[in-house]
Amino acid sequence: MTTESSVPDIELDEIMEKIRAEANRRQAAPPPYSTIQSHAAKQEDSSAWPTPFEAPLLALDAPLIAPKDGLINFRDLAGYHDAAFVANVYRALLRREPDQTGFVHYLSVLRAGRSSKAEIAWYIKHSPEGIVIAAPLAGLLRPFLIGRAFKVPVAGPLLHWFYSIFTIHRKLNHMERIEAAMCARETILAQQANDGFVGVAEAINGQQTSLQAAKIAAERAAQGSRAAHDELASKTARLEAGLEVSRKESLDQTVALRAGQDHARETQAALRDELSRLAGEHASAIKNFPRLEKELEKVSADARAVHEKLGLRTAKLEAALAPIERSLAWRASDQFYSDLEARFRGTEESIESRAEVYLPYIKKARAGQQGLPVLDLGCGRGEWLGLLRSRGLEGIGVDRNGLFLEALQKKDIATQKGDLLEFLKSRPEGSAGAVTGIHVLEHLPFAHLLDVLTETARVLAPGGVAIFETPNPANLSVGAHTFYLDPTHLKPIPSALLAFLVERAGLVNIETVEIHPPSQSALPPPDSGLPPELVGHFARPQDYFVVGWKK
Amino acid sequence: MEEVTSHAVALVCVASASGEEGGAERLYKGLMQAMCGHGVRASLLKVAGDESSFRAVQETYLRFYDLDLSAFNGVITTKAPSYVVRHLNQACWLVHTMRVFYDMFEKEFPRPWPELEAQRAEIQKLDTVALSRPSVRRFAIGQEVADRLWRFNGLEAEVLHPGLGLDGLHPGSYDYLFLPGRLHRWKRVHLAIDAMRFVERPLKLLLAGTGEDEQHLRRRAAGDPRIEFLGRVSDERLIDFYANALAVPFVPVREDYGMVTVEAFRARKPVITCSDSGEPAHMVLDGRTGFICAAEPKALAEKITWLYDHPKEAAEMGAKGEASVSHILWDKVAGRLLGALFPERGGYG
Repeated sequence: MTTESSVPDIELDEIMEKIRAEANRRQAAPPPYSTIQSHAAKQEDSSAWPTPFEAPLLALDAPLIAPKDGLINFRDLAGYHDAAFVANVYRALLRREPDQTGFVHYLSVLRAGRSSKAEIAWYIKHSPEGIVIAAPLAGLLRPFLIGRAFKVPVAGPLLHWFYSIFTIHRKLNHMERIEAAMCARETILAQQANDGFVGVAEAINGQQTSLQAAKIAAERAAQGSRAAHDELASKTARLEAGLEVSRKESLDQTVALRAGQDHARETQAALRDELSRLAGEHASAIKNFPRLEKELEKVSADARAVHEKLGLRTAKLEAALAPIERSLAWRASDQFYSDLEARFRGTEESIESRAEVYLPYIKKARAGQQGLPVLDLGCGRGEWLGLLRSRGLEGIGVDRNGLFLEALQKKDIATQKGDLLEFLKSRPEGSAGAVTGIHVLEHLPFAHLLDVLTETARVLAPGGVAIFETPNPANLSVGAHTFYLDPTHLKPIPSALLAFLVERAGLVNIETVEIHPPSQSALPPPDSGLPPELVGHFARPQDYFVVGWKK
Repeated sequence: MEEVTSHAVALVCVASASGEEGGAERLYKGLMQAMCGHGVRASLLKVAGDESSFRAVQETYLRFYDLDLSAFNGVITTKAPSYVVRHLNQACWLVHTMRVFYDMFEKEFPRPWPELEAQRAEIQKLDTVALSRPSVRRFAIGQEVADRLWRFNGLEAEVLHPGLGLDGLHPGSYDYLFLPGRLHRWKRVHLAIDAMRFVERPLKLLLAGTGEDEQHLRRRAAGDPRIEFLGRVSDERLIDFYANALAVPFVPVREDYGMVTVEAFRARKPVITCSDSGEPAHMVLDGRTGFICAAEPKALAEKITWLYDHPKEAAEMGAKGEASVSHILWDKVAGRLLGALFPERGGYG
């Protein structure tokens, strides 16, 4: 600022310049005080400000101890000496601490021997303040009068002399007490002085220790700064080298930049030419635009017609392709299922013998005769149809699996290829003597299953019978394991559920029969340790069938 | 109009040697932002300060005195000794002087030796002279700081409460005692800890922040599972802790300002403080927006217990507290300071 010298700032400037001079002096001959202070503070966690030593204080005053009855006797006060006496007279008679003037006055009078203790107490008690407060003090009158009497001219000293002789034993006793008290005080003084010295010594030692630490810190700091200086020097060298390199690089870059500028100039010229050519083309394009637009319209109309035609053809082709695709898909799964049956279902003969259990129901329903055929849903390899035929009963099988049907047709058994539901729907109402489904319902989605049962009830003639066999999930091994050997199985159907569904479809006299008990080897061994109830669940028959009758 | 926006203002502050961020740093940030809103070109000048020894203090004074601020039209100074800068247009918004030479002198040096007394006199004289220059307009961040300036230096200052650096404070439930801040003996956190011994309620005391006295305070609180030390917390968590506090027992020793009071009120929490706590005791209305009690654990515990037993009243006190600090806005602070620097431009504030 150019106006520093304006009047009000002069004082501040003076002070600051003084401080600056002080700081400069320190820098010329630096006592390592301030820097070491900060280092030492960090290392030792001690306050950066030196701690003052606190010496114990000597007791100069003795507080007034009032007697138990509260009434102070002059003898009590006379037991104090010097300043303590004066202070305690104030406390006892004026009930306050002495003021400076009064205290100095009475103390000097007492010390000079101009007044006795009794006289001082008397004056204070009879001062205006003492009269107002009127603190009681016993035993003052006599010593006061005696003291006054000694001051009577001529007779006074004589009286004093005689009085002293008569009271010499009391004086001696008093002196002994004083001597004892002085000795005690001396001891206390010595003790306090010693304590003080020890404190001072400790404080000095402490300061020396921190000075030592400061010195070490300073040395360390010096080392550190030397290291920092070295590092700085090497860094500077490195920076200079780096600067040299970058200077060269920048030169190269300048050259490259110039070359780039030349190239840019050429490119600019070329671009300008190109631009004028494009402008010409643009003008002619604008001229041609209406014609082109018309042409475009015609072309798009043609395209629309072609597109429509194509759409029609595509739909036709898709319709034609659908059955082919479906049959191709079935062919693949037919072979798979045929192989599966061959592996797991057992021989045709055993299946046939297994189906014999249904013959009594067929007979009772008079099915397979008089134009009321047995409809076998999911006839598969046709074991059951074969059995019926051997008994002279008429049966018609339906299956989606073409491979099975081909084999059956060779045996001259009536079959129809297709979906069970479609098949049932195609049969007239009351046209069947029996509907059977052996291991077929577990392949159907639930909605489909419901429809099949409804249709079954519809196609049955009065007195006709429906029989459905399926794996029995009440057998733990079936429900948890063997059911899933056939990957086309969807969900096991508990017998109670199937009975309920058949009844709900409108059939009556529902009957559930469990068949095909497991072989002994399939059961847990007797020493398996399994509880008998659990073994029972393994021992349940592996299949069951539900029978229902059309009213 | 261009002239108005061309004012260059320097905000001069003291950077602590440790680099620690405290309340003052938030204050600088807030003022800088507010000044930008007033269309001046504001620069924050941080100059290192060192109080580790008296010589370091003297050198710090010199460092500020020697600053060349001729590039600025106006200068706003803050903490000691930033106000010794030489500039013809200065507004000193006093944050605090070097308190060891003022109100904390007796506390820090119960038995001062003569040299120390002389140093104290020198600093006080220096501050008085520097701040009484006609080129300096005086403001203080709180009544406490203004009172001190009057008592020790015989100078008056206009009180200008700083705004908050914390946005989004809001009330939630009233669950626990919450006390954020540096764990330093001047903040007297131990008083709150000791008070808990007399609070016979299942009430938690959550202490956020770190500081040199943390270990000591942890030992002091040991054995009381209701007292939790949260350490340093982010601003988001700070806001959350405020939101669900029952009250804030903010009991420092002669605090300069204490953002905590304003923050607590903004979150609608009553503040319990002590009669010797400085600015909080000026801001809290006893029995209306909180309590002012004696600096004794029992007295503090009594108020805490009352608030625990009367949560509805606590919420009402907090709401009144919020109303009492609603006028404290950064925009007003910046407007007043800039108005003092450039009175010819009526537009500020």
